[in-house]
Amino acid sequence: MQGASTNTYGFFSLTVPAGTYTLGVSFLGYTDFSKSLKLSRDERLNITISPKAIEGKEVVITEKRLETNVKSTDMGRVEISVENMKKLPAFFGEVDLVKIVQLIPGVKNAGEGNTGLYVRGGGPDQNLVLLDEAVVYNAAHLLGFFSVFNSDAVKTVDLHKGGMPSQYGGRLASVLDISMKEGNNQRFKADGGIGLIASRLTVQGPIKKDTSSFIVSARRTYIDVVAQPFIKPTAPTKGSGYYFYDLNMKLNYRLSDKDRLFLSGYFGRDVFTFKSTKSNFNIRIPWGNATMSARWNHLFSNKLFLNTSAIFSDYQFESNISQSAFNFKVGSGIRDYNGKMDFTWYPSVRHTVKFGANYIYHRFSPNNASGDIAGEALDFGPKVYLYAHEAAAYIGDDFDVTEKLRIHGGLRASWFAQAGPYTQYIKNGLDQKVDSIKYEKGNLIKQYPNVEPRLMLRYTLSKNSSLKASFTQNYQYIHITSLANQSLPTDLWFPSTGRVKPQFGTQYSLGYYRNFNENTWETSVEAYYKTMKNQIEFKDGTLPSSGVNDNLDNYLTFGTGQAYGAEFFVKKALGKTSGWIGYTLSWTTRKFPELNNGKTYFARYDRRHDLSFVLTHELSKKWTFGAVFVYASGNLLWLPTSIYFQEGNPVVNYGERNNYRMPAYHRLDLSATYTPNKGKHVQSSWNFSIYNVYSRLNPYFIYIETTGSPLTGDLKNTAKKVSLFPIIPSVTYNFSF
Amino acid sequence: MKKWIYLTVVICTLGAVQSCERVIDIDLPASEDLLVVEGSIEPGQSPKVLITRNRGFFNAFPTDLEAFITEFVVQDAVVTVSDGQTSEVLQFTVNPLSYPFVYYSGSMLKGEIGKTYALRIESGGKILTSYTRISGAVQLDSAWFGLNPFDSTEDSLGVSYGQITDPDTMGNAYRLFARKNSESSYFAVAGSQFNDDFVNGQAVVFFNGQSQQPFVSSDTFVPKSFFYTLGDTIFLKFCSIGRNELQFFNTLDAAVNSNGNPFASPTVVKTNIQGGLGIWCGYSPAYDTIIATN
Repeated sequence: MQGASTNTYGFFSLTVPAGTYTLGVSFLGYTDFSKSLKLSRDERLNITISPKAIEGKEVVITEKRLETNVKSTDMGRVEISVENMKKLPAFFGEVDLVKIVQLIPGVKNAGEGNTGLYVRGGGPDQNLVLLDEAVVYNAAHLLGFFSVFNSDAVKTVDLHKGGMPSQYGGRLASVLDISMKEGNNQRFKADGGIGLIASRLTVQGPIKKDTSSFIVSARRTYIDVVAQPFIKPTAPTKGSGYYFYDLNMKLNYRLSDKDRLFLSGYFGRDVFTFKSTKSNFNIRIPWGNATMSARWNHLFSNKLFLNTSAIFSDYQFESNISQSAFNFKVGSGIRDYNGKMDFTWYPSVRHTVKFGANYIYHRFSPNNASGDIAGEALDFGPKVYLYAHEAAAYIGDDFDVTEKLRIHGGLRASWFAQAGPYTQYIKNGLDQKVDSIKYEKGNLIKQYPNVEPRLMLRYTLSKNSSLKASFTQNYQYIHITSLANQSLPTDLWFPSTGRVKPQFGTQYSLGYYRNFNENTWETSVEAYYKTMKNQIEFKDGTLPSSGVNDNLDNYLTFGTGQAYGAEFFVKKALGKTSGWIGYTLSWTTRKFPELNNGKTYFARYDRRHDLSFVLTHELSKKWTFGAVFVYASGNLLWLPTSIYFQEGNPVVNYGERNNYRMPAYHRLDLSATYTPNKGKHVQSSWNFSIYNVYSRLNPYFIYIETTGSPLTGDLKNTAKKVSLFPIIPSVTYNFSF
Repeated sequence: MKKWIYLTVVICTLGAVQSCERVIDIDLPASEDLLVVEGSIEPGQSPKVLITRNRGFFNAFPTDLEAFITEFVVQDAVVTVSDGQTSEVLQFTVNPLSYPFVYYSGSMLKGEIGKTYALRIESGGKILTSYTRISGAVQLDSAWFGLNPFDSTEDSLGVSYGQITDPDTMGNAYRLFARKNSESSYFAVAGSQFNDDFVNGQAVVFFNGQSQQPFVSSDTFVPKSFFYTLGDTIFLKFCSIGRNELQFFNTLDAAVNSNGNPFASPTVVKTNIQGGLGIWCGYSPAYDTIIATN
């Protein structure tokens, strides 16, 4: 028996002696394909596999082949089938990929109100989130209650949290690689859902049968619309509201047997508006991502495959404030132009070689302001942009050294350069600007060339068990750091500069994989140890106004990080009852010479225990039930420990960093999906979900309220815990025709 | 029927989105006992140094000024100020007429423009040190009263304006104090400090509200306590200070303002006291008086 995996585009190559074979193809969420072949010479085969019906029996998370988890060199890699996620409980009925990914051991969220991913002790900026190869810089809607990925438009979700193969780079912690659906090239099809706060519609079909297809998917929330009739026309804040929407589209053409063309795009915006009619005061804050990818697949021979991509990616945040004749706008964002070529080469049956190159031109816009009074423009100076080049070339080989030993060896050479125009301010010890250096357009201000080795080993112990180890080093050239305690849409990305060195991470991991009972049960244990250099924080005493008319990097301070832990995973992959239990025991610390008196402290998202339990049970063809339970140690907060007086004002004094752990987070969600018999044309289903079944008031944040005055004798500090969501039932109607 | 569906949807949605707030008890790590300095020195004047203690975050507070003095104020410290040539050990003084009412002061050593003053405090096994410099005063070119600039309909409340010409050398920093009518002490005006990063060598116009009385809660905003009223006599004391000292006041204001804001990062106040908290600041004042008239 011999096997091969396809690459992202569906290409595979198998080398076998002449003879008669049975070729089997399987892919999660799709019906197995099997064909008898008599081989006497090289043959090319196009195989079309069809999706299983929505009531399919497969598990929520599956690997491509039954023993892939044991056989591959991948460590800390998980692939998720989107169709099956729809059986799980969903917050407000909106199935959310990122929320499901957070149920995988080693991946954490920061609680409600935060879609930031925290992978193996890394920060929220250390994850490479890709949508059809385009970087998505802010994957959150509504301060993180939803992610930007519309589950109807997504085909697969591929997460690498451990050994990152050499074709990926630019981030320390993980890759979340999301592929959009390609569109049905056989017939027209529409899917949709109507939920309490949002609705979705997806249309797909052939442009020309067998050769080209399209898919368009849209989603919008309508709390603002639904609430309107209940707001009095005379209400002082009439017209205030919030909504978000997403648009996904993809076209694909089969130009010939050897060439395929894909064009895909995403556009999404969150819009928050506030209107006060009384004071004639308006705020409008839109933010969101736009991506566009054009890809060309070409088959040079049966053994060499090329994908060429041109990618555009953009994230913008804007805040418009107007009062009477005064208008003020401040915006920030990041924009990338990206070109890449990726080859897959199958030189012999023992080797699968991937190599390629990638170039990105970054444009960062920190806070840029503009405004006018009664049409007269105000002078805020010219817009400031920062520019950078990022390039990489890589090669990686999956090599079967012996029957038992497989090695993935890879090397990634990366290069980053900050480019002009740029004005660098030089400061003295008293925080005074004493000089400035002006760089002209195109000048390279600072270059960072680096090499990143990647090594992964698998040693097969038996048919159903293996041992894996990996060693990877990564550089990260662009960063977020935030003055706020939460991940917010205002977080700014900024490049490595002369002062900000690239983040550098080294990860060692070791894992044992074992399947039981004909692969019905999959288990694994992975342990990891990570070091991170050039981690970034704001200096103590930095104020939100500090970066104005200055270089932001004048306010940053640098340190190191460490993370280690173990992840336990038990999954029942087959049968009417399926699901998994994941448990992570972990530690993550930071050490900055200029912070916390130089002492090591636990990172904000240090989490000792993290448990997820996911279960689906198919009771009958019509009824499927789902349950999710999560338990996580609370996040760390940095709270004041004492109070003192200065000029008569009470002032809080903070003790050691992150000195308080919030109460643990736990929650149980349940769902039931009812799928009536298929109508004449329409297949419908109802998803009933209950979020937070026992209404646990999990802490969203804790804040301190100070009231009164010492002279009146009522000065008092009170700690208050704010929770967001009690029990929330929801219902969503899904249809497909 | 339609309305009923609407209502259900809205109640479900709003009910869910509405946050739940609870008062909770939290176990904070024990706080370190620290000494807090509030010290100043001006040309021609003896230094004034108030030393207080910090206190556990949820501990009860003193109920009156007397209790504040007995519980918070350190009265047995050895406080020495030196200008490099002369040094003086300051004595604990009580002066009910002048803020901060209880402080360490001397008789021999007086502030002089251009000199740097070292402060050393010894108390209960702790040693605190700091230094500050008295820079040259920058005079007010003019000062005047103006009605509330944020509200064109306002006809009685207003602010003080001042104009200075910033010296050519970079690195000047300022802080404004004020008192009105019969008040005996000058108090700092919150947020009044600034530096010459963007205005070096230029004429600068600034406006401010009233100064804040110590120990008055700023929980509720009362326009009358922020603005001056027509007829007030306003005494301005415009002080030049050092840049380190400016950073202290900037971060102090941010800490006072962000206290309680869950989305704000904790603001660490940048003290210039080694081994403790607070500030040791040399002030070089310039004075002016305004009558609030329209």
